[in-house]
Amino acid sequence: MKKISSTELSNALGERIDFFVCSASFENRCLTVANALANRIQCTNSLIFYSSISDISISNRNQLKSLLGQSKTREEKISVSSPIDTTVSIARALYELVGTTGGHLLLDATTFTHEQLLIVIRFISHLQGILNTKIKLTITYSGAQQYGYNPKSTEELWLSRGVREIRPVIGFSGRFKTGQMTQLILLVGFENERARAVIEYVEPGALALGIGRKNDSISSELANTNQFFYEKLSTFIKNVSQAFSDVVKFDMSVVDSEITRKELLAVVKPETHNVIICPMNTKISTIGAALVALQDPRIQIMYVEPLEYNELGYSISGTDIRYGEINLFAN
Amino acid sequence: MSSAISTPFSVKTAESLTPAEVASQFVDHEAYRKLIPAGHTFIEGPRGSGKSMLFRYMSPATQSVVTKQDISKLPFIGIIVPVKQANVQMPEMKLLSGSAARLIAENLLVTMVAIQVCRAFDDVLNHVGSDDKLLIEWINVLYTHIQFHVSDAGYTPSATKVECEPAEKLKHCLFALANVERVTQDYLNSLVFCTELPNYGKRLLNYQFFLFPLFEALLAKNQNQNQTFYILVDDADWLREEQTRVLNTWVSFRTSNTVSFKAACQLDYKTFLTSGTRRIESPHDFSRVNLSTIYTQGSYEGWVKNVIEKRLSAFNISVSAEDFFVEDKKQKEKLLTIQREIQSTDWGGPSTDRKRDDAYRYARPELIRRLGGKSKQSSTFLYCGFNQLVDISNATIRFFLESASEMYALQQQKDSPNETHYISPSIQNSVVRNQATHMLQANFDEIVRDYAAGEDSKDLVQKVKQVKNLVDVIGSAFYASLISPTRSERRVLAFALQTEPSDELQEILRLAVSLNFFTVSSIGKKEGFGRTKRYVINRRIAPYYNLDPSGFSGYFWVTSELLLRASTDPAKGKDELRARLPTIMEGAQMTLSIDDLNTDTAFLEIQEVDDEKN
Repeated sequence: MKKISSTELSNALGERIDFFVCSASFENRCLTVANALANRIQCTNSLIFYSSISDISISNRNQLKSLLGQSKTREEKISVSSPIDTTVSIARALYELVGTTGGHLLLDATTFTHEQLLIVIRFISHLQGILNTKIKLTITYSGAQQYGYNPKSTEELWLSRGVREIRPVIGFSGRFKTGQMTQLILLVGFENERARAVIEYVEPGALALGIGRKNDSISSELANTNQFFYEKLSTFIKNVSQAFSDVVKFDMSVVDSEITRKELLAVVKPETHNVIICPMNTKISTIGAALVALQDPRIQIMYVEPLEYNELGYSISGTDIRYGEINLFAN
Repeated sequence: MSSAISTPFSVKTAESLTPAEVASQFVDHEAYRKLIPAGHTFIEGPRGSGKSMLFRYMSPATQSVVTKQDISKLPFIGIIVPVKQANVQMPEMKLLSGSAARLIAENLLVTMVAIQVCRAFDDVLNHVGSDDKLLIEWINVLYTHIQFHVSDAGYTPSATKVECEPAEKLKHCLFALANVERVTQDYLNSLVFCTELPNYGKRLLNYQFFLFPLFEALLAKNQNQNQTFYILVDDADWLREEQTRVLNTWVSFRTSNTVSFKAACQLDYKTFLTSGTRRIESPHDFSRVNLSTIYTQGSYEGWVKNVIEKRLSAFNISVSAEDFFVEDKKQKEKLLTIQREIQSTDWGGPSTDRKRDDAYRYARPELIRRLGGKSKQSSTFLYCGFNQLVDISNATIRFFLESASEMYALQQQKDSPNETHYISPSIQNSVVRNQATHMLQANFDEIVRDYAAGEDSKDLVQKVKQVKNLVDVIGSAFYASLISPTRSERRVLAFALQTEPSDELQEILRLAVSLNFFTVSSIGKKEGFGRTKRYVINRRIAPYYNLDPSGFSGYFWVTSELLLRASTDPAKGKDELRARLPTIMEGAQMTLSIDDLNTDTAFLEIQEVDDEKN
């Protein structure tokens, strides 16, 4: 995947875009790619998924509709808490958009939840694999300049809180052998409270912590301004390593799904373990996890739904965008 | 890169231990004796209370190692079914309903159990040996039964030689059953994005015609007529509702002379309904064992001591648990000084004729008070010593081990390159205080999904905040009591409801219990008739409020109205407590008057009652 400033995205993409899919969110990052391509995709069939009905989200959704052109833009509400409803909505909306005709689909992964993004990817693979629809899939991801801002004190920085539910992602339930030990692979991000919760929930026999390379940070500002989160993350990893007898740490890419896929393949042990991957870092690395699970259906992907998000202070948009074509059936 | 750290207290999952390791680490306790008799049983206990270890001890391989007997002589054959090591939570199950869901759920469950029978026998072969004639016969029965039923149901059986070794036969059984498991999971995976329900294409296995006859056939080979099978379902609360109902249906059968189900749960078991309309009930259909309440104080401490000393010994650390988790000498001397003072005529606090009891009752609270300073944040009381750590672990062995693991790592950093032979009081204190702080400030980390189902998350967040407020007010009240020099019972760690709780308060208290801030039990009402609930604070958070977690404690009688107000306005709740405490000590009759602090009324009525053992 390549990194580019938002002003250059349109030229870089070059060829025609037949479909544009994105998610409206409380984060302003949901507008970055649409803004960058506004003039180009006014004639494109677009699909906006949304979950939140907060004022910020509604405002961002309206801006998206305006950027994408009202006449060719559809909206589809998707659930955060009901995977079955989410799946039905995503499948229906995407099928109506793309159907069996196919084309070049640009998917802005930035502000989907991890679970929603995985279900979208799963359905696109279904269209390609089962229905033989010819889709060229390009992913964009708009990085954050800073995560967590405007707190009263550094100690009060937070992105999400609490755990509502921990569940396998529908379509990525995997195939387990009863009695085999569980290998839990966490793609650890800044929200390590959720990471701790999933470790306690799954009680794995083997644990692997995937840590994003600091030099790979999505934007050049991010590494410095998020020292607080890196330090919390280091403490968390140290505590887990003390309590657990089988912990492996590995560096992973958070900016290139294909590299994430290869790095995960080097770590997973599906021959001897029931493997669960829980992605909690960038959506790019989540797509990497999806690629692994599509390649090896034994592998399960798990999602941790938080209780609440820091909607007012979640992130500040950066100026860089990552993009690249994704082959869902690469080996 | 690997970062495994070697510690005598690592919380290795029970499943990863060999039978010999289980036998060496396991310490007999009351829960085990309650599980041994035949009959269906539900075991409830928080994470880390030793349920999995208990089951591992009951496995035939471990029992053979422990008793040095062939499996034919064992009174029971414990087949562990580790639900978390199976794919029971597939969300695709929700795409089925009615009899399709039930049949698929049962097919998966019987396959799981059959696989674990194979693994249990394989475990015996690997760790005990292959000379056991009954084991060889059983493997033959298993092999014939599985190959017949699997191929009869339409699955591809495993191609085998006519005669092969027992281990080879078990491999073929596992292969055949893994095939059934794979086909079922693939079927469920195929349901996603389907517009019509596809045909399963094969016959489904079930309890009545596949699993139960297997157990009957196995037992028929043993001349030991008293032997039965126990199916030990670990983490049964992980099962989806449909699977739970299937298990309940099996429990409803009167089969204890052949097979008994023992199901272990952490959280709420989903339902006690069967696949039909019947409900299984205790004690009619099953007995209950609650690991939180089963321990008397002495028996839990003795058990932990044995567990710790076994682990230390395995690490070549030959000291007692008390000498490893040392007390602070200066603090101990101060405690002894206060005890002597209490037994002398210099003591100005409450006293009885039993001076030694008084010394035990008041010495530590008085020490905490004297070390406390003006604010509880300035307390220099050290939580250390094996006995204190046992109390703080709140009858959950895993909490003790996790704390000990962290303490050991910190001590090792200081001692390195020398070996560690004890944990310093300051490190013990620092770890338990940090863990108490973390537990209180990490409310939102807890898994509350059972209580969030169907609720708007904003309501839930509000309730969690109310729980935090309540815990804070109650913790502060307990501290105020502890440092009150004239109260006859200063050590208070529980409260009981004096009035009926509203629906709102019930939800808050239920959430507080599910978040492990309190355990709940039933006691007689103050008026003498009827029952009410008593809530005991989790001793793990005692260090946060500088409470004394040891020994017996009293409890407050509290009105539900007070608790509800405290949950929404904690600052006011604490202020009122401080204002009312002198009056409370006098035992004056109280009525509610939260807003008017000038009257002689107060809102807490304290009844100092010696607690029964927790």
